Amino acid sequence: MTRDDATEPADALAHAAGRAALACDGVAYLRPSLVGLLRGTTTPRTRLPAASTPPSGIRVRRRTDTKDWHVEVHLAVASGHRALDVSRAVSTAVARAVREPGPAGGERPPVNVTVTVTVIAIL
Amino acid sequence: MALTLPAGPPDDEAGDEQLPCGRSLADVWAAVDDGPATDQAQAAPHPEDCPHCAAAVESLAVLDDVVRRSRGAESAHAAPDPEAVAHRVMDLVRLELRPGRTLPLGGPDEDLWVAEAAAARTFRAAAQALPGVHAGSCRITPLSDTGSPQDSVRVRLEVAASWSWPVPELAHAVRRCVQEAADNVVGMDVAQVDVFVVDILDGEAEEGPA
Repeated sequence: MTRDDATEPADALAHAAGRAALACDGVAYLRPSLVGLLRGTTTPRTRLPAASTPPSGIRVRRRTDTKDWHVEVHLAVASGHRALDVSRAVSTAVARAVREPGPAGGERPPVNVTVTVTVIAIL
Repeated sequence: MALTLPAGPPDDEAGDEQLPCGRSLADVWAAVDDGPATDQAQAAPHPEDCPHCAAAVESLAVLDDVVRRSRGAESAHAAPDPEAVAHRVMDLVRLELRPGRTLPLGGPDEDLWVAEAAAARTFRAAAQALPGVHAGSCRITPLSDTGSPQDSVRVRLEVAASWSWPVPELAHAVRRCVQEAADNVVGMDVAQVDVFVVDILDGEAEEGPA
C-alpha cells in the first residue's frame, strides 16, 4: 500500500468520526492536543491546508494483522451529563458514520471504535 | 460491522500520538531535538518530504515560539522564575504524551474507557461537597490485574476533615458521595471505596457535619 492509499481513507474516517462525535449530546469537545490548543492562539510560521489536519481527539490506525481500521475518540463530557451515556452515544454515532459510503462511493471497510473520556466537567 | 474488541485498555502507546504516516509524534520531536536515531533510520526509511512529519515539526515550532514568547514576556516583568515556566510547560507536554491509566466503562462487550484522572477529579469534588472535608490523593485501580472491561474498580481516597467529624461517620459519608458520583456522573462500577483520613483541620473556619 502506498502512503496516499493509507492516509486518504484515514483522513476521511477521522473527519467523519469527528463530525459524528461532536454532534452527540453531552460532548463538550474532542480532546485537543497541546499543539492544537496553542495553534488557536498563535500564528504558525507556515500553515498547511486545513483539509490535511486531522480533527483533534480522533486517531485513526490500521491494524497490521487484520487490516481492520481502528478509530479512537478522546473527548470531554459536558457537566450535567453521565460519562457512560455520552461515550455510548458517541461510540454508536461514530460507528454508524464511518460505515457510510465515502464521497467516491462504496462501502467502507470494517472499523472498530474505542471511546475514552479524558475530562468530565464538574458544575 | 465486524468488531474485534481489544483485550485490555487502550495501550500505553495510545498516549503517544501516532501520525498518519506511522511515526509517533514523540519520535519526530526527538529527531528534531537530537537528530534522527541511526538504528531507526536504517530500520524504517522515511520520506524526507513527508507532509505529516512536516506538520509535526511545524507544531513543535509553534510550541517553541510560545515558550520563548512566554519567557520573554515574563522576563520583561522581571518577576517569575523562567525555570518555573519551563516546568509548567513540560508538565503539560508530559500529560499530552502520557495521559495516564484508563479504566473500563460499561460492559465487557463495550470498548469504552475513562481516564483515571477524570474519574479521580470527579470523586474528589464529590467528597469535597461535604462540609469541612478536603480531598487529596485519589487513586482508582481495577480490582484484578487482568485489566479486562468487566473489572470493577477500587477507589482509594485521602481526605482531611474538620475535627467535628467522627471518623466512622466521615468515612461513611465520603463513601456514599463517591458511590453516588460513580453511579450518576461517571457510570463506573466501583466495588470498594477505601477512605484514608490523613489530617484533622482545626481552623475556626472549618465547618463540620450538619
